Amino acid sequence: MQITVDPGRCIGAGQCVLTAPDVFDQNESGIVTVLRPAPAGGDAAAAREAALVCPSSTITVE
Amino acid sequence: MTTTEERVLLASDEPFVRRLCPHLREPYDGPPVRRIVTPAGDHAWLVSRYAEIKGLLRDDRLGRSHPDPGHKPQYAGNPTYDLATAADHGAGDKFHHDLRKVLQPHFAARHMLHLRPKVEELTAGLVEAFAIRPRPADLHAGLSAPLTLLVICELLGVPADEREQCAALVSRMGGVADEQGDGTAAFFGYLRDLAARKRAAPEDDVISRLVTGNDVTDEQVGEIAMLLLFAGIGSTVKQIDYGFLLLANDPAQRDAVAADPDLVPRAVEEMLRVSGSLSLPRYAREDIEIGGVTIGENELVLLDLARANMDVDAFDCPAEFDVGRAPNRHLTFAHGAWACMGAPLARILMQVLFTRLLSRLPGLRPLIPAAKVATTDAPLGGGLTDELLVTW
Repeated sequence: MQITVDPGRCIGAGQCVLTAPDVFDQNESGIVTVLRPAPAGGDAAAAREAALVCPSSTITVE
Repeated sequence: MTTTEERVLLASDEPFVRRLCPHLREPYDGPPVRRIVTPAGDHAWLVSRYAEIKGLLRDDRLGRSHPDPGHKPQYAGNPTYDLATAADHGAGDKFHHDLRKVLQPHFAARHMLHLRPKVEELTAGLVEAFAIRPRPADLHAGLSAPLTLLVICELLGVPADEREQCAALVSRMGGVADEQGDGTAAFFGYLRDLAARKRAAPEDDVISRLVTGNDVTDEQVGEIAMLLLFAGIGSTVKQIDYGFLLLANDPAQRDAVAADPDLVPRAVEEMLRVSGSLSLPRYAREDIEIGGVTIGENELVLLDLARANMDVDAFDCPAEFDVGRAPNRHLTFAHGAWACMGAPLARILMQVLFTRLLSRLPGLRPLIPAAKVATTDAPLGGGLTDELLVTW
């Protein structure tokens, strides 16, 4: 699994951190950062869910 | 140019039964923008489609300031709601931007995750106390309101032995009994003094971090704390009440969530989508062409978030309450620079509470069928009256 994010779309809702806290974080402005771009196992499932719940469609999971 | 004008309410102010009952819920495929007359009798533009609202929430031609605040058009004629933040657009934007910048770290999702065990502990205690009450009991006054207040007090740093005092001060604020503003003044005084005490002896909470990390006075921190309480309490309490009724009114969906607690986060998003929320009034800073109309400079623009959550172009079968819905990019917390900063906390609070209620009080239900629970169509009333009698 490979995760990419488009910080320009991010609105800082933090849904990714709530959903997959070991994969995503936010910088001091609230914009998404990726802690683990290639997660596996439970983290991969959480990352998929995070992409689904992101309100600004910032996260792509391939 | 639209010529039809009717006096209309935002969808979030219509009786809640219209969002609660499947046969009354309506998918929205109507006009994106239309000219209306507000309950206050003024003209406004009502924006109801998802794409247009999302666009306008990211459009800096729209803001909360108005160059002539004394003569601005109003939605409800309520001084707290129909408030222009400034007469000068630059000043209004700066205030909004600075406030968000100061507060953002304290509401960041990571920080809220650390608060989660505390929210679980507070929730467990209140649910236990609620479970031994005589039946029927009032879910609103006995659980939704005190839990929300407790959690926000915890975040702000109100000492545990002052929470009752804080609750009493909150209940004195607002409403017809507080037309002189005495209750508001008393509460502000309490928060200002709390800021001074935290400055002398900081702890790990929002007020301590605000006074120690920024060049602000105790008065300013008191104002910010009051704003957070105002913004946070009413809306969260309502979302809990709405969510409870939505689940109670759909036993199959409720049973699905009870059987699989992993569904709770999605279920909460669906409760938030179908309930919707009230957005604050905005004013055009220049002419804006959108949805086939031209919104004129300084005109009132109302973003109908609850209606947009029913937009057929944004959601599959929007009138269906589906606890497994994904994706679910509802607008209940608004969007862009206006997205609710308290959203992560509200989400955690609701997830924790509904997980707890479904396991501890599986038979919890409204005393009378959910569809007959008293609702209201008063502007700013949120479509639901305050009492919510339940039994189990």
